[in-house]
Amino acid sequence: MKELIIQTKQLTKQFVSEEVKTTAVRDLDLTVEQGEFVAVMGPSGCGKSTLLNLLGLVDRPSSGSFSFNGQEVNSLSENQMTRIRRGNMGYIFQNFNLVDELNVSENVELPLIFMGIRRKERRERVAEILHHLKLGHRSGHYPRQLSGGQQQRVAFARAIVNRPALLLADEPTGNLDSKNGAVILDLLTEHNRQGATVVMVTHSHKDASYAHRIIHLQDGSIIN
Amino acid sequence: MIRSYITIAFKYLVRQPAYSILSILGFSLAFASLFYIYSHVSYQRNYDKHLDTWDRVYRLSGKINLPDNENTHAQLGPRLAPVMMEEIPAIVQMARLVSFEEKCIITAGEQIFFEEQVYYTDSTIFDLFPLQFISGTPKNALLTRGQVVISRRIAEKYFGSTDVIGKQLKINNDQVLEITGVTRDLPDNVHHKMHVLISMHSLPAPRLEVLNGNDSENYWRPFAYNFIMLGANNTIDEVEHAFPAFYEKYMAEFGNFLKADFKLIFTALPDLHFTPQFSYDLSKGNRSYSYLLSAAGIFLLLIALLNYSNLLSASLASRTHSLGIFKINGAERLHIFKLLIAELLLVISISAAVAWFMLTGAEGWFTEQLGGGLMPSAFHTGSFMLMLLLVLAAILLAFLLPVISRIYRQPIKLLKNDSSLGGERKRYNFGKGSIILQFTLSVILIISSILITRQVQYLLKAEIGYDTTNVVQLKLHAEDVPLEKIFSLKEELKQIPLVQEVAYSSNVPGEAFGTSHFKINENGQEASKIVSTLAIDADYIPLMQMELREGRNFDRNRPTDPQSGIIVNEACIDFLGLGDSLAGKYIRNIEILGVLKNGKYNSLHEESRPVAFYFETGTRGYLNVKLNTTDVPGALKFIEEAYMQFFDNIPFEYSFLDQTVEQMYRNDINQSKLLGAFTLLSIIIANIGLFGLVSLLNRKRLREIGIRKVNGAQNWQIVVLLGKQLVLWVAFAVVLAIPVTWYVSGLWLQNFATRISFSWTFVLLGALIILLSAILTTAAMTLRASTRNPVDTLRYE
Repeated sequence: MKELIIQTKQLTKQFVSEEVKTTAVRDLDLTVEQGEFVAVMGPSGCGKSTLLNLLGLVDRPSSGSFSFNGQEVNSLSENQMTRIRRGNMGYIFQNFNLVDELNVSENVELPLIFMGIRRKERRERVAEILHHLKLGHRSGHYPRQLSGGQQQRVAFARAIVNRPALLLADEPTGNLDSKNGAVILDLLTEHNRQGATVVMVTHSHKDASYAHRIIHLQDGSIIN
Repeated sequence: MIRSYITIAFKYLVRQPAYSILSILGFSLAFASLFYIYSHVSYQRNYDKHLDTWDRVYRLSGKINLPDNENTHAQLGPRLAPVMMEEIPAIVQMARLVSFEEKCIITAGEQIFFEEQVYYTDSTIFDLFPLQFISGTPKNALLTRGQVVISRRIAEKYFGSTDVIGKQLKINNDQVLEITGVTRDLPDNVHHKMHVLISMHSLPAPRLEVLNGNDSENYWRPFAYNFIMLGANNTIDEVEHAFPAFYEKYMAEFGNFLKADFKLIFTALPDLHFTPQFSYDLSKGNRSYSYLLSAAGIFLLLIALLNYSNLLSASLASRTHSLGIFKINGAERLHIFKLLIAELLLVISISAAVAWFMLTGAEGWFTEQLGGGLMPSAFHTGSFMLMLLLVLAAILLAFLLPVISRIYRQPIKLLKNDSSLGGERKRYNFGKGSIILQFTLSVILIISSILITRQVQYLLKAEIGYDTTNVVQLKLHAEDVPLEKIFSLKEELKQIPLVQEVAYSSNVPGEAFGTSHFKINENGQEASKIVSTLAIDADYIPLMQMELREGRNFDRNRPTDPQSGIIVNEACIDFLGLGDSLAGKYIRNIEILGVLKNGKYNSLHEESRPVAFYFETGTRGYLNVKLNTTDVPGALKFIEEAYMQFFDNIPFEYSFLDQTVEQMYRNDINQSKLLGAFTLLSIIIANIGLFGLVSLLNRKRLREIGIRKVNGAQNWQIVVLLGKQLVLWVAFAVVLAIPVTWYVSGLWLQNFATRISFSWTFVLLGALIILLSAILTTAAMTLRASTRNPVDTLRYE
């Protein structure tokens, strides 16, 4: 058995407003092995994206535990969580979430800047990735000058530029046509073959078929 | 890494032009104001502090209480300082400055100049004022008769060089002096300029005799500025303590004769220029300016900081999403902080540069309009550095307020642009409060500015009893010129077709007039009252279009014969308590020929001065020339030609009566301009803040606007909805401003014996101006928000 990269026990996330308490993720036990490609499916409001946010350390659970690569991360400070995320995780969103004020190169090199990588090395890594993704000729362009597919490829480049062990994708093909969507899924698959673990949230059975394993969520809990 | 942060920061600034420009504009205006104010205040505060001895030198003045009069004299008797030095050990040195009664005519080679503040002085002057010598030595420069020391500026002005030792100057076409020293120029902020210093032994014989007189009166008479210097370890208290005994020994005799009390006043050098105006003194500055300016500078900076905080809040609200992306991609709080600090540093650097350009570009305007330019040396001092540090600290605080809460948010909340935290409401209320405060202050400034402008206009147009238009005042300097020459000049001027009338007067309005004691019977007892006097000829009253209430003018058919009797103004009648129907009456043996209506010859800050006009056609004073043309330059050319026929060895000097009168209100005019400038700045900066807050508010209400439009609201209804709060804020600000303005303006108007009344139209105008400026500022944003497609706004949400 491969080592576990993700292990959660009784993981719960509740959202509390003035009058309403909503449990988005409820007592969830989940394990993901290194190198797995896992798809998370379920109806709208079942807690898929919330689960992904918890796994990506961009949100804190209300209770339960979460270990990443054997390290308990619940009680870490935000900065500590950021450091873990920075070196080990890449995130891809449905609506790309590129920074409009920065061009393609600058968007992709963001994680490297925050890791303290020197300028020369940053430029080399960014150029290499963009070339690989056939975006080298767009390096000076801004997001508004790119198509949806190109933007998502830039987002992908940004997510993998720091060579993360875990890739988290939240409906990565949701805003793309089938052709561009297939390109992204191929990239995820290729990256997974190279050793990265991929956890992908999706509505699409077709997209989910790229994964090794599919987890179904309903009302915040795993039903299979 | 720093380059990356600056690149990202720069791109954000370019991408948000409104935020960037408004932040930079707000800071630039605040910095420019602060730099100028600091320079100006520094200039004022460093008056007479340039020499090492400044903290040990004092000037002596005397407050003299006579039975019917009280006055403070800046000049006292020539024996005072020397004998005090002999008698009081705490005084280690003394020097006196004896001024000319008016401007000095100095001839250097073929050139003739007028100079003010030319002094006769003791050789010890350089102990109290250790001027740096470029040539010559202080020890020998003013030891004997016929010696003069000049400044570099004067040397270059007269000779084009500072190599002038041994060259000669002629004073008032009479006395020849040899230049024995040239000194470095002192800065402009000194009370006594000391560009030309003549050895005391060079005094004309009659004045030299007075200098050396030993009687008690020679400690009292207004003859010289007396300066003393204390020992390094002595204090002025020691001198104050010793003075009563000194007074008894040397001054009491004449004091008893006058039945006068005497109080010696010690003025430290830095205070010389700012103490209240004494008699026989140079014109003074106004220290309240410094306080007003300092307060204004701090106020403007606070507004700029509040506004920047609001603008930054609005800007951060629009890029919360980006901050979320940064965090998700590995940015810790420190990284976000560094990114935003880089942005702040860019804004401050650009603002400082723009401020400097504004200042240097407008320096000429400052000097001309406000009487002072930049003082670069002020920016090389420790206190300026300290001020900069404090300003930077304040800017950092304004920066941190909106930033801290955002960088502490969780990444997912930033990404979703979640503004559900209670902090948003506090920030909004803070922003709203600061806007209302700024509006209130702006309304106060607007109303005050309108009031001051109206009062100044009122002063300049007030009925003063004589006509000031088109009157050229030709200065007569000659003391020993035959009277016939003056008459001939007068007749020559009358021949010029562009000249309507010519008349003589000893002084002009705004100047210190002569005085005379009038003995009257008051409540059955004899009393002595001091009245100002003005010598005039028979053409003066017709020229000035003064109106006689009763009686007659001097006889114009006897222009050169002496004429007895006096003409008085109404204020004089009231002052002397002489009742009505005075023509033909006598005060003692002097016949009152006539009574002039009104007649205000002093500033309208004060009550009308009582003036008695007597007949004279002297050689010292003015020829007043009334023109009958608008071609003033042409007329002046003819006047100068006529003048030079008779006085080719005395420079032609003239002024205009309306400008002379206006000069009495120079301080008020400057205050009005200064206040106007700050009012405009405060309106601009307040509206910068308003822009930031309204853009934040509109952004928050986008969803609401979208829903309203989908449910049938029209664009104009949205505009009304958004604009309503603006009107409420302005109304609230006006209500807050009214009592403050009422009170402050009431206090200020009490400075004037003649004044306007506070009017509600000022309030209305102030409210309209601020409302209009606010509407103009927010119109584009409000229109854009109201015309936005609801689909876009709802999708955005």
